[in-house]
Amino acid sequence: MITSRLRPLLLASLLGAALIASPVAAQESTPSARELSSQLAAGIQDGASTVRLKIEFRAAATAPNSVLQLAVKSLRTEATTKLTYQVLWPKERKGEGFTLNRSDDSPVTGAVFTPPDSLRPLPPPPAGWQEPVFGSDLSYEDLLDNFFAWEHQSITGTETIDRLPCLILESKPGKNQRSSYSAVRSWIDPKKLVPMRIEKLLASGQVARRIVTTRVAKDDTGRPVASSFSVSRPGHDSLTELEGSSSRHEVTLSEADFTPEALRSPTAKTR
Amino acid sequence: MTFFTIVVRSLVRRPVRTGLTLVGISIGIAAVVALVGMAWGYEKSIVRQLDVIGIDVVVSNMSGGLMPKVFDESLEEKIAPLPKVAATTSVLMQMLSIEDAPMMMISGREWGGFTWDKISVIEGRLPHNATERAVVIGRLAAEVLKKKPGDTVQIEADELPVVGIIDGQAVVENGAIILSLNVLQEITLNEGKVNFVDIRVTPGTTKQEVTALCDSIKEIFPEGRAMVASEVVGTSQGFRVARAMSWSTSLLAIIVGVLGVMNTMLMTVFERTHEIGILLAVGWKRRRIMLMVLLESALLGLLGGVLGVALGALGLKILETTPAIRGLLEPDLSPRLLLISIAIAVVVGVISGLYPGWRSSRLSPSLALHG
Repeated sequence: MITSRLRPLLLASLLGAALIASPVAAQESTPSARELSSQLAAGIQDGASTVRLKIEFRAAATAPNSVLQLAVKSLRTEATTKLTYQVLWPKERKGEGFTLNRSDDSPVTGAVFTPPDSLRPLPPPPAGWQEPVFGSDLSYEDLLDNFFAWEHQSITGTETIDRLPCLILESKPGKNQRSSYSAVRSWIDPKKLVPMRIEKLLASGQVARRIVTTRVAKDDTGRPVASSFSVSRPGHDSLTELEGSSSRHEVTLSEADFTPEALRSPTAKTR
Repeated sequence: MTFFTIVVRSLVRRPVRTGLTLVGISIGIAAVVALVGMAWGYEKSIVRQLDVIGIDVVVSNMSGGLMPKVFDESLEEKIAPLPKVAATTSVLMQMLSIEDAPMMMISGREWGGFTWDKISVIEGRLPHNATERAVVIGRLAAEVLKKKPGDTVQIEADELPVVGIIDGQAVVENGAIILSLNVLQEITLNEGKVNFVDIRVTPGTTKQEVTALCDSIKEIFPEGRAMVASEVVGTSQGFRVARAMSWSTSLLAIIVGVLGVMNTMLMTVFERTHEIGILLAVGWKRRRIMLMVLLESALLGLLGGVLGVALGALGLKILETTPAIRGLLEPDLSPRLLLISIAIAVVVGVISGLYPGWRSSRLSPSLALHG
């Protein structure tokens, strides 16, 4: 028998439980892992685009922050990924950059350029693509990989992140898919199809990199994208924050934009 | 001893508990003042900016992302001959991260257009002509970027000289980088494109005539929208989201405040069962007992509200000076907001006192006297 003193407490508890449970209850029909990963992979393989990106990182908790403004050109299809990153600011690093190329029928290649004329080919994987990008917490592999296109995809649960009910998608590479990560777990907002958190796991099960989305905005095509995010490596004091300020998809990019020679003209614009 | 003295005494009797409850309410009210003050401040600043520049109607295509979508600049030529249009000017506005600063408004304005008229130069000069690759920087943006005339600022891949620091009389203007439309179009690869056409109507134009003008523009530019400047803020999705977010966060803080006061008042009622029994035995009506509890909680709310308003105002002043916010926000600390916040606190107090008041009025005098 519930006494009159306990009744308000019980009502408050029920109300609290209902409030906590409501995001999960409100969730619409859950897509399959394959459907979800295909949609996410297609979102990444969105053809030619350019992005302006600010990257801010510190090597240790007490170290000063380094800020770079970057111009990014990318060409992503199901079979090909081509990237060019170039530093626009600060002046003393202007022109630094790299290209990465990967396609189904050829090995990964890349080159790193440091002005005035040092052009170094990137060592082949796995050594080369685990190098940090401009000294940050991201590796070349992190930029190049599309783990949503990996062979093995499964939904392992749900979790609320920033009041958003997210599906946890676990991606594992297939036999022919090379990666230094054994699995990648992504917390996906199924309404916007945006990963709110990504954890990249080593074979030991340890989290090697954690990427947390800090802002979601619409890109030039009106699609929601993670426009700001932070990258950390558990066990390290370093932190990298990235903020995209503009993107453009109606651009024409050619093979030449992704050659090492393209890095020698840092201010070349793309239409 | 007056009725009010009894109310005050019961609060003073437990100074620590009353103090902690006041802190709880005041934090909630401080959150209301800070969040709503920021949202209102930004809205006011935009309205003031449009007013200062003298924009009556704004044409844009708001379906894009952070900024309205670009469209062909020839639209201005089609709008200019419409009835009641006194002047038109095109603007290309971009939000870009500049150097190591956060996102900033970059405003490319048609050379000779009326949007240049109200800019007053504090230091240096304005660009000489439409093709000069130079910028002027709002005084707040200059502080954030640590720039002065003679320095350079990098926009996209281009490095442009800063020729002046300006005061645009509104925080949006003062937090922006302003340059000639042609130069920004070239830098951002938007040749021939703009995302705003600003219109001044002829003096004496009635509201109906402005509405008719907006309808005519809609026919010329069906994918876009012409809005009366004063309505831009009210209909903007961004402002509505900001308003909703600030009020919903405030609501959470208020709910916490209600629970805190309710807890305090319930404790008070339980502790004073004997006293309430005596009051009932000496002839106090149940309604008077309930009123006493309600007045106590309303008084708690009032004091918490006053303290919260002071805290919130102080917090906003501190926030205003932080590097991440400086130049972007001009909080609104109008008497209206402060009074609304105090009123909310009092209402919170009264609502919180309803249940404890009802409980106290239901006590049986004989049972209360026997503990």
